[in-house]
Amino acid sequence: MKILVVDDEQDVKDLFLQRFRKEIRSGIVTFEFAFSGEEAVEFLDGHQQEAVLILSDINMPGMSGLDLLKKIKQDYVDPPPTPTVMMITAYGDEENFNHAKSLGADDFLTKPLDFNQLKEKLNLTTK
Amino acid sequence: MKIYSKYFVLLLLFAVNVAFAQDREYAGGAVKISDSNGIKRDKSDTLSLNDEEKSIVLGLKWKLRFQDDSTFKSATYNDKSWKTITLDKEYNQLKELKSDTVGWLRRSIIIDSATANIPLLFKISAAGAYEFYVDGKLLGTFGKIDKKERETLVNLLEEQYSHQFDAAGKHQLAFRFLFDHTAKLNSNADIKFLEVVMQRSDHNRIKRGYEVYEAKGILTGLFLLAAVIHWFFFFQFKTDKRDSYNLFAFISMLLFGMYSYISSPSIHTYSLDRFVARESLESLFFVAAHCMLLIAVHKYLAQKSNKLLWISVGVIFTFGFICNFLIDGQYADYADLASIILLLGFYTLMLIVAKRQKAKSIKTLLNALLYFLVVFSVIVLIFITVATVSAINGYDMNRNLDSFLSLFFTTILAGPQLAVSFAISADLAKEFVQTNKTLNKKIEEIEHLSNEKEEILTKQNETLENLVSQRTAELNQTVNNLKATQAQLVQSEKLASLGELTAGIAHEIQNPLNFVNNFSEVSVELIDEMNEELEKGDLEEVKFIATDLKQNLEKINHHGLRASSIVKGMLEHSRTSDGNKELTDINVLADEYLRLAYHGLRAKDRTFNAKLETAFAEDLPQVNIIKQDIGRVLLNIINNAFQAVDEKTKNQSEEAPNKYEPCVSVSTVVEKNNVVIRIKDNADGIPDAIKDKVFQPFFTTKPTGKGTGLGMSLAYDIITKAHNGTLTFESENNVGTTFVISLPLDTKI
Repeated sequence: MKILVVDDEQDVKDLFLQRFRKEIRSGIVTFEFAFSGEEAVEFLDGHQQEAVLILSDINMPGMSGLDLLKKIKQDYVDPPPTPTVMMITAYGDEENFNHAKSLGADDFLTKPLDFNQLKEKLNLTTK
Repeated sequence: MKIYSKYFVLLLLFAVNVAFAQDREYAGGAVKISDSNGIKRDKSDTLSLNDEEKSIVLGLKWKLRFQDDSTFKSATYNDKSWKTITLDKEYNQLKELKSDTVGWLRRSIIIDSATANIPLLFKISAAGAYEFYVDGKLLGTFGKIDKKERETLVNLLEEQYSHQFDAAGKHQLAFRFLFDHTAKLNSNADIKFLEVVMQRSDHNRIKRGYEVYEAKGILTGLFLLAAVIHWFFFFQFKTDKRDSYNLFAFISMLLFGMYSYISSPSIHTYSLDRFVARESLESLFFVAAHCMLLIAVHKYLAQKSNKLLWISVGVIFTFGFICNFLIDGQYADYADLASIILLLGFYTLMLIVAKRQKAKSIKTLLNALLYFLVVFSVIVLIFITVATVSAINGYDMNRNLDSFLSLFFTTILAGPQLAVSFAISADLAKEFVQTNKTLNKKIEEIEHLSNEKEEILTKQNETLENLVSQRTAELNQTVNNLKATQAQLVQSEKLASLGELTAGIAHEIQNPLNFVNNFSEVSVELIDEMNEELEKGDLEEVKFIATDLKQNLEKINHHGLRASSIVKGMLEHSRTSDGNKELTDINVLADEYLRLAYHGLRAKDRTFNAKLETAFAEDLPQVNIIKQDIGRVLLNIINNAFQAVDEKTKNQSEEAPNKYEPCVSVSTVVEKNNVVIRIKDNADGIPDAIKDKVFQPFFTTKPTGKGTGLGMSLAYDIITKAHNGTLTFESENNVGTTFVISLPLDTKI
């Protein structure tokens, strides 16, 4: 399973790589990282079929996570399946959550990230 | 009653005067004083001149004949058939001498032995030409006896001829003459056909008539002086209509002066016509002067009715005219005196009328009368005393009479006029003095008042100063209050912006916390793994994990520091500025606040998004600034930019969604020794109407309660005052706004 992580924080890459080191080693998941919405779009244009799951931060300069979500849910419907998009944000409030939901977000995670929870959800979603 | 008693005294004295004048008749038969006083008359046949009797007037017992024969001069010629005539009379009274033919006058005298052998003088004045013979010998001539070319002269003073009789006894005087009989002299003229005086040549008696002339000379001076005084007063008081009396008094005094002047001739000989003209002018001046004086008095009394004045002037003028020009008789001699009496009479009458009308100026004029009467009385008293003493002691007082009479008549002739003039002048002088005194008093009062005012002013000044200092103190208090309020406002502005930032800050802290938590958790897992690998003995893997662990710990440390720096920044932002400048990297600062502002807005409004562009100059020199103040400025401007683009986004999203890409860019650059920070948005721009107000305190476009309106004002103060920089903006409608902060690089502390 290929997961695209979109966050403007560089250290997210190291964090994910360490947190999922076992899964990566066992070849269950592979990660790709984009450090802005624009970079994510660029990657998706090149590897549309590869990314199954997209984890995106909402608060990013320029194209925000919500914009990215909107774009993905509108532009990458064909050919299906539409990638699963999980939004990550530091603001765990309902308004943000509902907005993301209305744009078609498949799930909603708050910072600081609970990786155990995330792994559970990944297992769920991959089923 | 007092005034009436004054009138009474006045009238009494005039009665005395008139009586005296008539009493004087015996001496010369005329008002003129010059022909009899102090000179012995030839009443006895034998003429004797000695130490006591030094001169004799030869006026009686002359023989007259109008026939020309040279034998008439002879001492031996018998003139018993000739007409006897007295020469003492005046021109107008001697009709016998009025003839156009040459005539002769003879007089025989008897000289006593004492008179013979002493040098004698014959003093002769005549109204015509003559030849004078003594004992048949020609002693002197005057004029030219020529009917056709006769030059009629009048010898006003006298010709003198020296002679000494060789023996006592009978001697013969004879005149061959041609007198002027055609002259129509005014009745007052002081002219005789012929006057002969014989005197001892050692008799130094002054010439006949000189007393009068001298007195008149003095009078001329007095009158002219009075005239000058009135002229002066007239010009001084020209503005006051009432004071035209000074003009008339001036004219009157001038006329009197002229009268006095021409009635005291300085030369001996006149032509008779000229003499007549002079006499007429003299009389005219005299009368006119009186009339003018009355007018002056009238004006002085400020009488409304002119009736009395015109009657007075009319009477005096008519009377004078009649006396001087019409009546050809002996009463003519009284004309001058009568004029004076008339004048005084009318004067008194005017005063009485004025008194009834309660005119104000009466007192002065009454004083005038009193002055005159006092002087007059003194003279009369002296005269009477001297006369009495002379009579008791048996002296012939004729020798002193001249001076007294001269003084006496001069006083009568000129006294009242001068008295009036001087009284008025004195009154005016008194007024001057009074005015002067009043003025001085006024000046003193004014000085006093000004002193008082000065005191009042000083007091007021003190009061004002007190008030001012009081007000200043109050103002200072108010200013202090304002400063305190301002400080509070600034604080609340800070708190407000802090509130805005809270969400952003929370997000900013969440991110590092995310890493701290996760990296520490994963590190625990890594240590477990490492232990497993150690038991397995796979040291390569252990080393690999240890490297990761070290890296993680570094990251934890890094993000912990990051969180603490954010907290520190937040604290710095809310803390009151201590004003300490420190060298700061503007790029870092700008980036930090850009993020803070962005996340702040994002925290509040999830839908908000904007493209952030940064163009930071590489190798930007550090600038000496108060960090939190400049940070606040950046935050303020960036916040405004975000809000502007957000607003535009929301307004446009319905009609043409996605067409507008909100963008805020921050750039730094070094320009001319300044670090310039540009914060640019692509919103609608600032409307022209509020461009001027952007930096004004309490100006805000936000809804009430949402903004203090101090943000931009404080920003402006921070940049321009505290950092000596500039804060400007450029804004174009529908294009955007760029705020430009310029901070000088060489700012020293």
